[in-house]
Amino acid sequence: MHGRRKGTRPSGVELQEELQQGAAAAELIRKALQLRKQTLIYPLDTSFREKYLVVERALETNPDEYTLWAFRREVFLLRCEHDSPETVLSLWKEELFLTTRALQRHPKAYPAWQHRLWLLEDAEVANHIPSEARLEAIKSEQKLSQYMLFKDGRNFHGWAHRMRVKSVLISVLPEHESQLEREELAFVEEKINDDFSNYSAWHHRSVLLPKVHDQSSEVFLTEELDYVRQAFYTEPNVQSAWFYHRWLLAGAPARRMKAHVQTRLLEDELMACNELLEIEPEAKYALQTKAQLLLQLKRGMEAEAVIDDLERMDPMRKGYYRYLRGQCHISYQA
Amino acid sequence: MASSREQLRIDKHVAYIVGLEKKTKTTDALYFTDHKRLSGVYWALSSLALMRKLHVLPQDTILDYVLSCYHSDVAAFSGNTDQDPHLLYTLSGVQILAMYDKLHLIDADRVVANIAALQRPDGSFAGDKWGEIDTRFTYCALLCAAILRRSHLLDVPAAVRYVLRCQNFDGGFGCIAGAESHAGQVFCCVGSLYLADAMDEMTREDRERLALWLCERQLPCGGLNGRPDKLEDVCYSWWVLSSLKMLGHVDWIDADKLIAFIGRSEDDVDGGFADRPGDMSDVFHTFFALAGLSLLGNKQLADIHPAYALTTDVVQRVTEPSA
Ligand SMILES: [Zn+2]
Repeated sequence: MHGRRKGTRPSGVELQEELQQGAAAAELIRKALQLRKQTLIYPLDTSFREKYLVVERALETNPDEYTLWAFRREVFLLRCEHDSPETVLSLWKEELFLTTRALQRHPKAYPAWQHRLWLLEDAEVANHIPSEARLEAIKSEQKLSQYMLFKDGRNFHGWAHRMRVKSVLISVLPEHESQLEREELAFVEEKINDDFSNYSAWHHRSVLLPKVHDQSSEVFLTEELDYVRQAFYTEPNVQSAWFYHRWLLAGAPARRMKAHVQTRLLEDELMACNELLEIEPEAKYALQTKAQLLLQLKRGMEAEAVIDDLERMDPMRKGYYRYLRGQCHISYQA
Repeated sequence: MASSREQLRIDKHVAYIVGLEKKTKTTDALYFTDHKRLSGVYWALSSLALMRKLHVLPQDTILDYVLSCYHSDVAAFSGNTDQDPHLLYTLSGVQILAMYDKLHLIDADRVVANIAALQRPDGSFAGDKWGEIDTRFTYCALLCAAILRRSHLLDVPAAVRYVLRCQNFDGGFGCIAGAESHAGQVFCCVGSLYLADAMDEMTREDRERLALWLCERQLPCGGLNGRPDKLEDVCYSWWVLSSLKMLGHVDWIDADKLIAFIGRSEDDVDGGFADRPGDMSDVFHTFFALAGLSLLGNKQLADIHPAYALTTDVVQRVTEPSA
């Protein structure tokens, strides 16, 4: 579906091999779905157990087969009811390990992430797993997403999984909530410092900060602005820091400040933009920010001059700049 | 605007769609998409409907297949005959029936009642009984209910509150509250707000920031990406554009450049569109390419509705006051 180049389609022996592999995979999935139609009766007989291996192999081949994961949940729950606690615990670990294998090869398979979360989160499952073992697994869970994010720092499944697991952990250890949020913020900050352009990490910073810091303090906002300035001074053409900057000054954080503080911060940032633009006059996002700041400061006439530059430099978005120009006129009248 | 608008090769695209059925059984390793075949049927039929050629495929055969994915015990659709019911496919099933004006073939009261049972106290929706939460499912739920004229069976205000909790620092939306913005999720969330008649629940500043984030998805090649610093892809022509359309800011991107990009992703020999120039066509990107071109006013194509993802004549039929 994605990224299959034209003209790279194999031919001859290679084509035969691909066809065989495809047919084998389809056959695995067909067999697994066929088995799914059987009514589950405990104890599961030997022939079922043998055939059940096919489900695992089918999911390793294609972890998007959501019905097969549901099948595994049903079998697992049935065995929870009847098998010994030791067996259930080892089954549970095997299920987790199966998702690890699937995700290593297919890091974007929704149903595999879902299955993993279900094993950790579901209340019925929790009834059958010793609480220490469960807690230990949840605590070490962030290692998996850490590994996935090390391989791809933008994998939004990995990021979302971290959030979901953190919620599970907080529900088990409510007294550790603020510590857990602080640790997560430290992880995110590490990711940003590794790579200022990691947009995902900036996003998660915006989510976590309000949970960790008192946002109504001016000190907080000033420090945050210092931090983001370092980022866009280093890489002025990377949009992450600029979106974040705009949020600090036009979104919720600035709205919490008194009007005169807001104005002073806007003026400081305008100065910072101007300094950057002296060195990098074509830095588009700096110009966009400058126009925005001037508009917020009700200096529409100056904003229009900046918009002239933007229209010339970034003609694809002239519709947006036309809109901004309209805002300038509103700001004249104000 | 017309400068970069060449004629679409409608006959080739129709032939490509009609030929898909045979193709799945030969070369392409389509076992990867077999579990969502019903959505594939929706993309194929919608592509034909956009080209005003819905009639070229046999309606009876298709309806037989679609109903073979309907599980009357839970009044929901599955992704293929052997698969489990899931909200994603209930939407595809309902959309297909709406296109054929055959909604009476399912029990609308029960379909929507079962969707309502998937709603959580915080307003979010699970995709099925296993409880995965995602704003994609909110969109599926609201759209199914709208098409079946039973929105009142859902807690729409709670759904709106949950969607608004998913709005991020950049104005975009993610799969759950706190998750990163992604153009596909933006489409689902803006679509949900649109269907709930709640677009005004976003502040003007939030809407503006969102539209700016969306128009920044356009890259110098003219194509759109789904998140910052990602590659362009034809499918975002739909997700980004339809969102901008609902926000009233389609003119914030360069239509000519996008049309040219989609044109370069067109296979003018075998028909269909790929994710980007030089790649192989598939039905998914063919639909999103045509849908994007329709939103940009292509006269060879029928008009598509940005929230319903159906041609506007179908939307008119399902939304007009009943007699
Ligand atoms: Zn795509």
